[in-house]
Amino acid sequence: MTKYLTPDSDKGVNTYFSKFQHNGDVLMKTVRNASITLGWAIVIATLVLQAFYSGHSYNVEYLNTYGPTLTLFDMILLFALSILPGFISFDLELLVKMFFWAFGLSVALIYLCITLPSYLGIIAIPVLQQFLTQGAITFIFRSMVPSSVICLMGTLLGGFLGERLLHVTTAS
Amino acid sequence: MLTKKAISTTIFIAIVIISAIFLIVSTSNYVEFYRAIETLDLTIMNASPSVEQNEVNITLIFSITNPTRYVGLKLQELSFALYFQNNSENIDLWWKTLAYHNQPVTIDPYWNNTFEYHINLDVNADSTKRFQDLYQTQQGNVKWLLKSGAIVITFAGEIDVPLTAEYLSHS
Repeated sequence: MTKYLTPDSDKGVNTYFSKFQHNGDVLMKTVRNASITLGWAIVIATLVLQAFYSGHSYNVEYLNTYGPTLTLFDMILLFALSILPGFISFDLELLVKMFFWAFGLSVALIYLCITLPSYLGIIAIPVLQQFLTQGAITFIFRSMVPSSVICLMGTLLGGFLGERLLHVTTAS
Repeated sequence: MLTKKAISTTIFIAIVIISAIFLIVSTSNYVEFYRAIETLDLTIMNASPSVEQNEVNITLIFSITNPTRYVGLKLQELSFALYFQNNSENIDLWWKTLAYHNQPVTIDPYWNNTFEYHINLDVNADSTKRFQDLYQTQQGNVKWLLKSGAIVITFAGEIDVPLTAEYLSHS
């Protein structure tokens, strides 16, 4: 039995509570980082999917090319919105980890949303299901490759700004 | 007073909530797209001919229905082709394409719109003469066929929607 489970002295009580508080802090940080990552993934997925749903990414010219499927406005918006998570969590090492998780999650979310009609049984013809799956993969590659670079740049800028502005304020 | 971190966190949470709402709404609309394309319907309600000595008129009444809640369809072109049957042979009588290229008609959710179109056939045309002869011989009991199609603008480009393919009528 560990000493902090039977706090019979002041030292024991302090150790018990400090350990408890430490675990609580770690848990809170993990939950907070996970929430930011999930929220970030939702924001990226929404931005990329609105390009898909609105149709400007799906012009006939693009169907036979390998060009990007997001407009310049989409790219600027992605960059701007990637600054914010970086600004909040200015630990660069953690940020890069969170970025990759968020990006992976957003890819999964985009794929799920595009192929949802197949899973719901709305598209029952196997050839169309396959077409939708291939279309989703193609769209993800075309849109997410340039997006990843842009998001990472925005994140790093946000992290840098956060470290300069928030960390200094916190320290002072 | 809120710190810079609290303000930026609040903004981030607000953006995430707005994004999540937008994602749910737009994805549920997208899912409806396939249903809308499948169930978009053109029904010929009436296509009655009026055959006179020097005039053949046909009044075409049709309705287009979108029975889904999908938002994002636009009607760009409607085409009709009218045939009549003579000894099991389909004879081309009239065809017309109604184009809305400059101002495509928005097909709203649960849209049901009725259109009326008056056709005045060229009495000098060979097919019209044959139709008139057959109409008079058969005393108006002519079998005829109407084929229709539509081009609809969607987020995935222009789609040729197979509407009610044919309409067989006894006058």
